[in-house]
Amino acid sequence: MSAALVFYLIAITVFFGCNALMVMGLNLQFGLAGVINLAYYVLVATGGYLVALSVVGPASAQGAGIVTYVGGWHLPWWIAWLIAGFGGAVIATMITLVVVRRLRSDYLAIGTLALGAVAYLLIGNTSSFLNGWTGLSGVAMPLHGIPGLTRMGHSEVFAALVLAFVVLGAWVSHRLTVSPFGRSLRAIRDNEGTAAACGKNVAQLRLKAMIIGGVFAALGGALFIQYIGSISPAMWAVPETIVMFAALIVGGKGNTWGALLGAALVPVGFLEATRFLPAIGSNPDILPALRWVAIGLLLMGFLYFRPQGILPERKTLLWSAPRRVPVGGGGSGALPIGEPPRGRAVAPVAGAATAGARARTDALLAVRHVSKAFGGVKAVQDASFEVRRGSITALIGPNGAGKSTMLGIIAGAVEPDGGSVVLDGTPLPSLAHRVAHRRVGRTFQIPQEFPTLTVLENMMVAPLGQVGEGVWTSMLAPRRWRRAQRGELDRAWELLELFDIDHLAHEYAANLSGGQKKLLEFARALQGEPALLLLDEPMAGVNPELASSLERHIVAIAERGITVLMVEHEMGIVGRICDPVVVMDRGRVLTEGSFDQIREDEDVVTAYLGGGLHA
Amino acid sequence: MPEPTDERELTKQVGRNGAATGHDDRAVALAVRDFSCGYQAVPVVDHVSLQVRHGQVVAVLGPNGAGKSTLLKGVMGLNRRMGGSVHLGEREVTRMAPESLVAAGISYVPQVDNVFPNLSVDENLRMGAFLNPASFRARRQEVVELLPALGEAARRKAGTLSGGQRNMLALGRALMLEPKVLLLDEPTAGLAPAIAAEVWRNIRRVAQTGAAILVVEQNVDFALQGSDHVYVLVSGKNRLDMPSAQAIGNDALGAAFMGR
Amino acid sequence: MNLALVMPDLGFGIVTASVLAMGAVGFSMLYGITGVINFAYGDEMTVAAYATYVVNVLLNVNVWISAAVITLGMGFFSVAMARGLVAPFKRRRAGTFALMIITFALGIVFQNLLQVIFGSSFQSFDVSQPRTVHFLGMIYTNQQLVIIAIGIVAMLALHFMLQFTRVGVAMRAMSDNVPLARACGINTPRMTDLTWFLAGLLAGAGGFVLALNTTAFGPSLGETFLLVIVSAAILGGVGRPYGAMVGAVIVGVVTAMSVLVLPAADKTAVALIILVLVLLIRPHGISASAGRT
Repeated sequence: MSAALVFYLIAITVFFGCNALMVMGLNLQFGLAGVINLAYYVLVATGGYLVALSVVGPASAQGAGIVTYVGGWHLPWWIAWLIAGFGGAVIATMITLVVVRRLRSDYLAIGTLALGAVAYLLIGNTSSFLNGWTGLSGVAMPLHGIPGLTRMGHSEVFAALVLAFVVLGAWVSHRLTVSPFGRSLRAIRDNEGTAAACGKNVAQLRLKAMIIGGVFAALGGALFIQYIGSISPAMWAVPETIVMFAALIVGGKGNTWGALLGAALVPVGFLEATRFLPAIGSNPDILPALRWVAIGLLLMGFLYFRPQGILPERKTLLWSAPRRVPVGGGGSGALPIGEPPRGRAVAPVAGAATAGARARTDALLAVRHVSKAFGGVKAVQDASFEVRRGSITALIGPNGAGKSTMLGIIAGAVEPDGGSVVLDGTPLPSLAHRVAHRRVGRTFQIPQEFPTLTVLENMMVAPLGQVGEGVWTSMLAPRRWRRAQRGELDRAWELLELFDIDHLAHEYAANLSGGQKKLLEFARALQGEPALLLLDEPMAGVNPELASSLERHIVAIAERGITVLMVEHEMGIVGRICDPVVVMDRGRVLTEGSFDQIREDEDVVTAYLGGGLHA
Repeated sequence: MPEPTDERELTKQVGRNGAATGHDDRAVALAVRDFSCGYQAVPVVDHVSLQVRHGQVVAVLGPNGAGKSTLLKGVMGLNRRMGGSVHLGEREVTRMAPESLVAAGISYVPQVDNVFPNLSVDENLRMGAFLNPASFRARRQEVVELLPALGEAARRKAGTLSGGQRNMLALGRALMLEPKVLLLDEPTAGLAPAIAAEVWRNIRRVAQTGAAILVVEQNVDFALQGSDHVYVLVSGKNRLDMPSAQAIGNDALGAAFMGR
Repeated sequence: MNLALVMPDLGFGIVTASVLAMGAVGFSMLYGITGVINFAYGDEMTVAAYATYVVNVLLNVNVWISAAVITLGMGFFSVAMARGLVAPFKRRRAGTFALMIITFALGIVFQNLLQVIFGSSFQSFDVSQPRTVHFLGMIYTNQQLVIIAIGIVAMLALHFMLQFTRVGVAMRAMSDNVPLARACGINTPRMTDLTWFLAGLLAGAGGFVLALNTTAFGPSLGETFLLVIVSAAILGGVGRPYGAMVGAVIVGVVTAMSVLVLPAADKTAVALIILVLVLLIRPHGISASAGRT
């Protein structure tokens, strides 16, 4: 092989390797966690600059000009890598805390775009910091001093090193993706509110994804700069981030292989495909410009024809198979939840009476003097009531009474202006994920599923404190979390069978009908083994057949000892299974009692007929 | 506007919509027959029938989730129509798109987002008359006579109006094309009783000009005082149907609401 | 502080504001009425500058006439771009983020096509030598005064259209509440076309004055300027044309005056920092009026 060819292959390999690391990092931030970070290339630059500062000597006159920069520590190459990685983590944290926490998608995109441009301009214009537009040079390649290696030889070793990094990175990325940690990230990407209701600490998980992505980016940048030998702002201008996004969009986001493929096709493929084109005309700038035109067109083409990429995020078929032949209609023998066998209607009076009789008199949940106002409107005013352990308590009231707000406050999704909510003697914090960890489950009025996760995965987001949700366990202990997952998977299948949707286990949740989504919502809330279940208008938009089925399920749930608090409009079900009934009107708790008492209560009737007028 | 004192006055005030020949013989302006509509596969409104005559105010009441708002939206073509028919006078309009219904003479005032907040009151009215700009000046006069508060606030931005004024503006906007039928979705929602009473007074005055008005209302008292006829829907179906005078103090109403 | 030192910078700030105003209003209107965040807008301005250059220098037409012709042409270009390149994605229900990436990619394509055709060297218009004019202690060239005049005329024309024509009021209505606008019988697709046309006119005029103001321009003329435009637009409350005008004045003057305390090269960075701060503190901008429904 000629020396030129070898050199070329080495260059390609290094180029691919570095870009692979960068694209994998972006996949963690954007593909998995759904964060739009248009300042991504700043993280790459961080790694590049840090490795340069670590490796070169202190600032001094170099050749024709004065070179000024901070740092210059002349450290060994492997320490430089640690510093670069650490720097990537730090900058990623800063970006997250300053911008990602506060802004939603469109504004986040603009904000990060601006931040990236600010960094570019300020670093370029400030010559004393990182030597301005000229940048740093003279970055030696690692393994420089090892005797016996020709220059070509140690390039080959470096290329091998880069590939080793890629393999390691792919291993980490893959492990993270398939683990419960990755699943939690995807859940957050799909639906933050529901993820929080399932006990996921959204902010913390996002930060972790950003940090890991930042480390990947910085390492990719570090290795690249060590190969090229210099870094200047022109190399990391704003459009470079778009190349990264293009790579992910072309290759396929949400999975490690798509990221690798994208890195091979876009930064590498484009560079190489155009390298051998003869210079067109007399203009040396044409080729790079054409390259950008091609990337722009490629991006637009893919977004139009194949937005999911060449290797789209694969449906995660959790490895267990259904336990019965899914028919979606029949019942099997032993149902573990204690529901009465299908076919026997639960007598309405018996339902309410048994639930009421079974209810102990002690309160599981106590709402005390809770108030909440939105803008000038008082949604909830000094509301207090209790929910007895084991009961099915209804929360009813005319439109605008504040019932949904009340439920949101109990669930920790809405922060009250005053008052407290006490569960089992201890106050509930006003954070949805922490409330979930106190074994409070909830459903939403309009089903809030995770659309790009399968039904079974939706269920598997719900268990609290799963092994493999932490970064280290997900990477290093796959056997442990797989084993732990088995028990939860069994439970998930049981619940899916109970609600007759097990035949849909490997369907994307987005493809379910409205009624099926409602059932999934129930099942998912139960998977978390709640002690208190909050139901927000469970019968809303549900056909009569499904409604009676849901009613039976709710009674069965209560018979198992789970306390239920439900907001409902439909008086039929309230009358049949709920006791007591709490009535709210205009933000206050009007009264409380059995359904029959409520019905005859003049104040209640007036409130309903008077419908939401303010005094 | 003063109460009509004789036949001629009444005819003059009715305007160009429909004939005024006496109370019970007025022609049916809007008829909904066996109508079903909803959002996904399940009909929220289930085989509902009702009718509104020219110059009549008809209230639709019912507990939450009864399908009242869905019914109005269905008539207006804003959701999936699943069966039955809708008639504007003699003409069947069941399948028509919302824009065509506007041109045909039905006007719809939604409960929320019913004005242009950054436009002035006058500009809102101007948009109401968009399809017939030549008539704007004259028509504006008439609408302001009907709802004087709009004349006073003409230059104010709609977003700075209070809730009651906003609803009034929404009503005024809908009147600019002299609709034959007016669909109002909870015009008094969130308003203090005094303002709600004013809104209902305005509704009555608009009806006197001959428009047929179908009002979804939460407040039973106001609805019964202000309307001629009332329908009660429960769970998407017709439950009660009687002249408003009979419904006042009627136990059947309470029973329907409390699910008995 | 010595007024004599401040005034020239203030003057320059006013010129910058005039240049900014057209871009900011165009960008803001586009978002407010069509919901599209057009990241190709800056590069559209570059296209306008180069097109004017072609007519002016290569076809030997007076620069002001060239500018007028190209401004009109950009209106049509903008509609064609919207119909041909944006609408197909909107039909596929592309989200706002996807549209951002698409317009960004489009901008890259525009910029680099210009580089392929014209090379990366700087061009200038064929225009007579500027004369200096003193006005209220501020120093202007006569060209800069024309720029300010163009800015003022454009804003007045826009104001007139939005306030006093049926179509203009309809556009403002759409900016507030699209379903209600449809319920009034407003033809929203045609209004969308008209909005893109106006945005194109503003990009044309804006690109021309930007190029004129920077004297020598290259393909990257509009690239960073886009973010300064976005800064002004968001400061004024995105979707609000009058807010964008105010935003342009504030950003223009603040960045120009920043040279009193910061190195001149950091002017653009100042504008971007304003943008980030606005996003973090008050993303709805300075307009206190009722929000978009």
